[in-house]
Amino acid sequence: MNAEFLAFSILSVFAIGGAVFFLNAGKVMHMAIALAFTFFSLAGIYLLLQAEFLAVVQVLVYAGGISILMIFGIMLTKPEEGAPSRSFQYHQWISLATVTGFFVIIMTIIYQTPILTPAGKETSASVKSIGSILFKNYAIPFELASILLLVALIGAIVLARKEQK
Amino acid sequence: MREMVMHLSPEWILLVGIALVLIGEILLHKDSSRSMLGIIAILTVLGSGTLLILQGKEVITLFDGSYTSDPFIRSIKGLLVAGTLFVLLLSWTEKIVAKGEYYLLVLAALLGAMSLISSSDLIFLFVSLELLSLSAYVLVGMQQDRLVSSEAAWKYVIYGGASSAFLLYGMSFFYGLSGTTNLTKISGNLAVAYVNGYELFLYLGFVLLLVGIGFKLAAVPFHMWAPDVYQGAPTTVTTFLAIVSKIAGFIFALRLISMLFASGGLQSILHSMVVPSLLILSMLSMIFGNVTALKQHHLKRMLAYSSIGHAGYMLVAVISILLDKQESSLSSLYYYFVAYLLASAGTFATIHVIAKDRSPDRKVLSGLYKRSPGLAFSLSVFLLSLAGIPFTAGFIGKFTILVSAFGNSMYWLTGTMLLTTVISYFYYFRVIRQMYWQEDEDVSQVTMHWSIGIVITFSLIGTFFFGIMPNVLLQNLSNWIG
Repeated sequence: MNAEFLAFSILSVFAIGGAVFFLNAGKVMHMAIALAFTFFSLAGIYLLLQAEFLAVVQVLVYAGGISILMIFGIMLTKPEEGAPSRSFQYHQWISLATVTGFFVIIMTIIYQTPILTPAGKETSASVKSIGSILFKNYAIPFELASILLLVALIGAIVLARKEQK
Repeated sequence: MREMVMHLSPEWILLVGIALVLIGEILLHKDSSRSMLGIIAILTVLGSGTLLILQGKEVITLFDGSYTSDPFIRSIKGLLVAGTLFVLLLSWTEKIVAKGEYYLLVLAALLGAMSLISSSDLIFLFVSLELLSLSAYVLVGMQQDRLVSSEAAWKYVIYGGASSAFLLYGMSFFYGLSGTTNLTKISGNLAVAYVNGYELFLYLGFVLLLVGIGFKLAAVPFHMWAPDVYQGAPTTVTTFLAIVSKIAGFIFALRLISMLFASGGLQSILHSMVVPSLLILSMLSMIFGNVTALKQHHLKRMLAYSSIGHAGYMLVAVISILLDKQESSLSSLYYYFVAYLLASAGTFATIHVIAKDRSPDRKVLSGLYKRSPGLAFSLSVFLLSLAGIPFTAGFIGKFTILVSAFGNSMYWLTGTMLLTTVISYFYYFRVIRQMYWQEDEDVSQVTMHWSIGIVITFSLIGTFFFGIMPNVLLQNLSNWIG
């Protein structure tokens, strides 16, 4: 039981707890905050895995950007607060069974295969090398991603704006 | 650098078109007509097609092999360009508030589709696929005054998002096992992992991948979104989904699966797992799609189920290609694409004209023969081609697929294909009967815009031409690829 394991346990409990709260919260605002919690804990887990760059990006983009954007979205629109139905209907049982089955299958497969040999102490990829790969080998996907964001932006505006007559 | 610009020119020009449409939309007055932007979009797509032809037979690989473009891929891109041209021509009369954005999204979706079939890298594949899907989600929901349109967009986003997640999860297993995202290198590394006891991960990865691909292709049992989306989307967007999205999706699936399992060490997985699971998908799609189409009254819904059936036929061709890797199987798939493109474009164009603002159930077609014999005739030809009656392109398409499936001794599959083709005759002929032998309560004349006339004429000529003289296309294609 070393410090790393302790940190991992705490972070993963926070991550899963955030996700569960997200699903169960009645108010949209609570959901957004629960989600931000999950994002933060995931960033911590990345840090433990020595992926510092990924951790920083996770905090900047997800925990920072996305959560703030969601909170803005909630404040600018009027979410309808309906009491969620608590009773379990039959299709929910079916989904539960399917999801549990899927989880069990994946877990069995993961535990049945030989564990990879622990990676040696590699110097983690620096921001410089990430940048050079991103703009050399992956230049096209990078540019396409910018078009993707443009399409997402325009699409959101088109779908969200009111009919102007 | 200059060379790279030339190699990527069919894609670059679409980017230029997107920028021009965007600027035009900003400059134009709020109430002025958007037909100018439509012309820009059409010219861009035409330019992209010209540049494709200019590239000739050259085999292009860029960025460490992550971008490839060979004559076959280029011929598929030609189909995508042709399909998008049809869609843009039909869009001329589509009632959409945000017309400028509409053209932009169509161009962006074409860009996604074209880079999707050129990419040989998992990251590149995924980004292109998302560009195509995201544009399609928005396009489906653009008629905001119709509630079904918004509903369709919502369902499409949810199903599409879930399928992307499955796809990505599957890809992550393959990346983890091989340590590379490059499809040309991945297969050899996977074979090493297979020997070293990681075969369960390979199976799991493939199953996840199959779920994602199945959703994108609308193959049974992952087809639930298709009928609602086809029905709810504006007819032009339905045409886009049925033609461009579908063709790009099939080529994506074919390239991904064939490149992942290309190396000699993985042939046992290909034969024991990959081909059988595709077989099941294909059989289920053919049977379920065609049988459910029998019960449909709404025309677009019926065509959605029929396109699920057609996805089954195309999967037969994909399996043949995976098994024998021969040029003849490739050209049979290509021929089917051509036939399906022409017939679907024609059918949707005709429905677009006839139904106008009404919801197109079978009744709108009653007595069409008396109102407009030309339209009734061309719709009959398109439906016959979809059904696969001799002297239409659809017949030759189905025939070549059957021949290559027989060549690989897949007798069960060919049997199912023949049987479901016969079943499909029922609903196609029922529509034709409605046009010729049902009395009509509504005697209004059908007026047609010239742009739709072009699409219908081209599809009609193509359907007949390729149905009577299939060798013209088949021979040119084998010269081109070979």
